[in-house]
Amino acid sequence: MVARGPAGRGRPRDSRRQSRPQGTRGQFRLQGSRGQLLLAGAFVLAVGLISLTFVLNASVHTNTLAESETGAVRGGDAVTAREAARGDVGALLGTVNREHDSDYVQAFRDGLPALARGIRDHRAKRGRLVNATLPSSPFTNGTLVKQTAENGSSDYFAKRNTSTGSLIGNRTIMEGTRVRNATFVITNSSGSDSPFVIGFDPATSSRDAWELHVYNGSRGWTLEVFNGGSRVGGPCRPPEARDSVELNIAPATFGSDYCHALSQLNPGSPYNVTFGNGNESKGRFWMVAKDDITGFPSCPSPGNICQDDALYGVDVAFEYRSSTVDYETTLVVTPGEI
Amino acid sequence: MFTLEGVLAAVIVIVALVFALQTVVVTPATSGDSSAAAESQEVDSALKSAAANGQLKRATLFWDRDTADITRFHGASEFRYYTRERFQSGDYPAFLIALDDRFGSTTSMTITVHYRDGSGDMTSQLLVDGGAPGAGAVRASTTVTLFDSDQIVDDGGKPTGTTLEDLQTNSSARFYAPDVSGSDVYNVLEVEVIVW
Repeated sequence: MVARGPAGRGRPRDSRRQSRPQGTRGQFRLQGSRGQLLLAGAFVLAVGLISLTFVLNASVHTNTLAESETGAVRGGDAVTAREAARGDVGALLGTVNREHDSDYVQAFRDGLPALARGIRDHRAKRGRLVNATLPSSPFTNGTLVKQTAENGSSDYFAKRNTSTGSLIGNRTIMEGTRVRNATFVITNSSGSDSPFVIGFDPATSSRDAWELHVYNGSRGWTLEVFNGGSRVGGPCRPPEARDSVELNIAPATFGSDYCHALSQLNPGSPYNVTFGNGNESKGRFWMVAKDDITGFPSCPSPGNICQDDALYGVDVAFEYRSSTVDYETTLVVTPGEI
Repeated sequence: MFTLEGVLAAVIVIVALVFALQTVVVTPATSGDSSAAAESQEVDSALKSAAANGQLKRATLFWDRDTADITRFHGASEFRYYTRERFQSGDYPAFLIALDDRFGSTTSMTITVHYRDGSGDMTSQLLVDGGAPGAGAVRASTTVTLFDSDQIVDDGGKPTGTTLEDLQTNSSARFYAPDVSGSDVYNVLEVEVIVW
């Protein structure tokens, strides 16, 4: 039973007075909750912003890492390593041919492990395994054919008639073969009427012959390239006058300058190499033929064309391994092959 | 009435915003913009081109052994290597002039030659010191094989007639990389180019 006070019949006397403070406290409580809500909302927003920042940064970082490894994943790094190895092996081939008269094969066998170790050490820093080894029967023999001058002098590109002593200007140097590293240093030449002509005549196919015409005319040393009698591109000339000029066929340089017309040279294979107007031009040359060539005396034979055994090419087993790419191939190295 | 809470909330949001803006990495490379100093493929192409035409090898042999006090690259002042950023004129390796022409004046570069020393460890010789690589730096590297018969070149880039083998056997002459092989191979270098 509920006890009632004296005024138990109606509302308590101070009920109105009591309700007002209660309503104000509730209002205060609600208003206090709004303030806390505001702070909590701001805090949540701040945490969200900072989290978003971290997510975005992680994404950018991942993207950067992915881009930096793209080459390796797609095999670009393997191709780069392969071509660098091809260049290094080609340089070794050129060196042993130049520095060793007879034991060039053994010199190459001795040099390749040192070369391979150097390449392997550098690539290993970036987590790649690169190796180059010799397979069985790796060597392609060839013949170095050259005309070198004695004491800096030079001789005609012509052949001398042994009985009459006269010069035969047009001659075939080699037949039905392929050459690499063909380089000419022309020290003396007539004008454009009788240029020194280097010919590449297809031996078996019906392709047009290519001719390189070199002369020292009114505008200095000039190279013109012809295919089937038609001139290819414009003439090439070194930028300044000089006493002699170097013609390097594989990299297409004339007087150290790139010659676009020369880069078009494509005689196919096999072909004959001929000289024309050699009785009016002097100089030196050297090239390595793919096959055994006969008809010239052994070197040294200053002032005359001579020949020596040489390495024409070499096959090297190339191996590349990374976390994503395994690649093995055989490099056929014939630097400067035309 | 809620001034204090409102101010605190505003401060929290502003601080978070400032932190976020300061932390997000935005570079030309990350945004996909092509305004980076150089593309990786471009540096790689320049290096391959120099390797093919012999400029790169001549740069590694551009060594002045006749300097009285210290051997160094030709024309390098104070240090053994170059510290300037431009190579437009003067006696510098053609490789550096070509890089300068290719990438222009707004880029910096550091070029390092790595090689194996006499004890078999990998070590380095700076060719160009451009400082610490900046944002958007790209790198490329390739190997260059030196042989005993290779000649160091003069400040015009012409062979001097002095081979690396001569330098190795002459105790008074010094080259930065030693002969590490009994064969024709002298040393295998790695040339690393960083452009930014």
